[in-house]
Amino acid sequence: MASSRGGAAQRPNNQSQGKICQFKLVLLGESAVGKSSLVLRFVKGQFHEYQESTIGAAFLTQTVCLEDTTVKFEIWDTAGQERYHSLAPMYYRGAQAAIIVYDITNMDSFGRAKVWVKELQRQASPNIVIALAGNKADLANSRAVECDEAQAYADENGLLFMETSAKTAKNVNEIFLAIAKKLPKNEQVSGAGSTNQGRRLVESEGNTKAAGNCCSK
Amino acid sequence: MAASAGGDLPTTYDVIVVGTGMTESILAAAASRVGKQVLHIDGNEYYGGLWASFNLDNLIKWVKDCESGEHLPSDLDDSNSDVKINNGEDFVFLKSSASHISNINLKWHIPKKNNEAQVEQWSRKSQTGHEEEGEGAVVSQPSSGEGSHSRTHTNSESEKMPSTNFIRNGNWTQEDIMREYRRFNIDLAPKLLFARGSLVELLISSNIARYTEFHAVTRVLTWLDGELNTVPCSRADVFATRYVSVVEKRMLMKLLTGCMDSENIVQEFEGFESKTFLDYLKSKRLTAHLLHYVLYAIAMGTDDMPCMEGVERTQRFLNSLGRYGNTPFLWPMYGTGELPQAFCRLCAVFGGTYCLQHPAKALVVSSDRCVGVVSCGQRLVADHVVMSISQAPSHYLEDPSSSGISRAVFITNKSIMPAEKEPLTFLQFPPGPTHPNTVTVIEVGPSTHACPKGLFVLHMTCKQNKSAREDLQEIAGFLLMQDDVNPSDYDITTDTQSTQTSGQESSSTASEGGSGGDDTATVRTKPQVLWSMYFNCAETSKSLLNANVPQNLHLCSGPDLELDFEFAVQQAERLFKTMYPDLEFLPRAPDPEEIIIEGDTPDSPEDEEANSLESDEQASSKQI
Repeated sequence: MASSRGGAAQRPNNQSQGKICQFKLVLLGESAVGKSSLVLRFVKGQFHEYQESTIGAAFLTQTVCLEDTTVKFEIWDTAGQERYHSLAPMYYRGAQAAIIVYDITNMDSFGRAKVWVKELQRQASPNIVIALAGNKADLANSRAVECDEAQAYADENGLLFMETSAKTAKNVNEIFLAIAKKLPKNEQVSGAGSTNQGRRLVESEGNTKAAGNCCSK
Repeated sequence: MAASAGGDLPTTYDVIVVGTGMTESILAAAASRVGKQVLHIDGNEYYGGLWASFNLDNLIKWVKDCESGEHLPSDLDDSNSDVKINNGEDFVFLKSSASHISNINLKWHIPKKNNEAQVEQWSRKSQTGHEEEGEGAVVSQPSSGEGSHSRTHTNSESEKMPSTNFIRNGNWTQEDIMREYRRFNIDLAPKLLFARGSLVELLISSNIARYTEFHAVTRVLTWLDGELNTVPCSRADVFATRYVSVVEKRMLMKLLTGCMDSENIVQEFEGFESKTFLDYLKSKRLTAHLLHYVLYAIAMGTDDMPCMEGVERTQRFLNSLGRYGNTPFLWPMYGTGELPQAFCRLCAVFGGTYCLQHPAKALVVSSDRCVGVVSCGQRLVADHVVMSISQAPSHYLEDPSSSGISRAVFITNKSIMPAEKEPLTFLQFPPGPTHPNTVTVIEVGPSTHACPKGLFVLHMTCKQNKSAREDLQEIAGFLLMQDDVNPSDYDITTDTQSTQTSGQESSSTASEGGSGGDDTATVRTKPQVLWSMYFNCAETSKSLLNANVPQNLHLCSGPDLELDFEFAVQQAERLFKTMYPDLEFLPRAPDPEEIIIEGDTPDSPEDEEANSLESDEQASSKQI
């Protein structure tokens, strides 16, 4: 499941030594809790009060450098499919990490986050690293979900937990870093018994042609 | 577009797509990609319709739903009573896809449980530090469908967790398997992709390939003289195999080169235009073995296949060789049900709206136009409606009761031909005296996420003659032990299901007597069937539409008999061209690096629908 996807991984800045691990990270949570904003803050360092949904973005990438390892996150956003509770399981297939986001000013979104935790525990790969993010921490004045309550829930379920703010950037890099640290970096053979990875189809691989090949396509 | 209250859907679209089968999903993606406002709904709680892949529990639930005829919309029920109908408009009621499934036969071939105590409630430990898979993974059992014959998680005699050693030697119980139910991904319509087939090309050219991963099929087998043989696929294979002599190797290479030599193809096949491929192969004086390999395995044909069709199919096979692996074929990780979802995701990424558990009850039709659909008490309007044929009313089809597909699925305890590295097998079982149709066999293992470690899933597909079980049971008997007993004494007990014992014996002695083939170093005993399912599915790829189908209603076929997705891709492209003749079919979606993130915009966050109509230019422009 984990790591090094062929030569496709691009070389991050100044990190030619040490290994590079690539992980798929998915964002989950109710609409309008700030999933995309967290990603944009982390990937681009930007925040927009009225963030539009990002049309055409299947996923974004960002790297995190640990001591001896560079972790490259491939960050998948829901593309709005969660709105009518119709997120395709394909979305979190093979994800090694997930951030489940709720809005600390909205109790319902916390309830929904718990449902997502359950769903992932049922459907995702068993070794997935799950982080719970109580977003909009800058709006603590209108807080509806107590930090202690969320922390207790996270502890019970073995989740990482932080209150974050995409607006002020509070804990945004930190939560991704915490996930990066928790991810297993040496999983050549994953626990699920897959000794060989799946492969992505890319054009370049097609250039090695078979014997006696004439007209393709 | 105004959303009505109560979380209901917005009501006006460019395209409404009903059903998330393969063709529908490709069309949804294509329309959304070029900026059309797409609503994609499905009455099921899962994606894929008749093209879906299920975990074992959901598969059993699907069987029950099909058998009970659930989801059959009767008429305009209460939820629709408010739906407005204008002058000159009519409701056309839709059918349930479940009506396309019949003759379901599901069976366990192993005991419910051992004496060892089983525990229902396992708590999940922290995620890391538990490298041993399965341990603590099952959190809760699905609550639906109490009392099913298969749900056996009710016993809690002991607090102790059973050991989770998943490599077993035949002592599987139903409980063992159901405990791992979510590690299965079992396909209703298993298909392979030719490495240079139109779906692979489309996935790459549209950039949807980034969403999914594949495994290359590791070997092509054939059934020859009562045993399994590895078909030499590549040049390296041809020269490595011990099945064919040196002379035969030259013969085979010459023949295959001849089929691929486009310059001289006219001369080469002169005189064979109206003959069969078999005639041509015979004229080349191929040995019986070679003839079998080329005709049945490489061309995947039959004795009466026209020569040029055989040449074409041989070319297709050879063209796809060497691109991704040792064989011409790919299999999607997590099963074929991932593929419609991948197209749906592209549709969503470009602004499409997704709504499962949202059945379309009826079409709203006005003279020769489909105005929209009625779903969950809402009248939803669109310029175009795309829908699966399986839901179309009978009077839209010329011949509603046409042909069918016979399917069988087996969970087994090992591969039909064990190999050092986990095999992923394609086997085209040639027609025989007792089985008139070619049977397509695909065997997938744990590394594709088809099943837990220690198990394999074997799929069989053929044209329907009688019932799926009658059509496929004999061939299953050639490859598998279908009895319900302990495997250690299988050879002295009779098959409880049928009279296949003679077939079994002959095949096992044949392989043990052994021609000393590459893979028969170990004495081969057949895999034991732990669980089996047979069913029939309608084959609608050749269904003819009646002239009274509204012009802007586009009907998509269900799974077809062919191995690849060629038909679905072509149908989707053809329908797209009738909808939007001037627009490009699935142009390349930008890579993450190319996405420009919209800056500060004055729109309110509720206004998400308004943003989906960005031009391609904008979406693919380079980020600074």
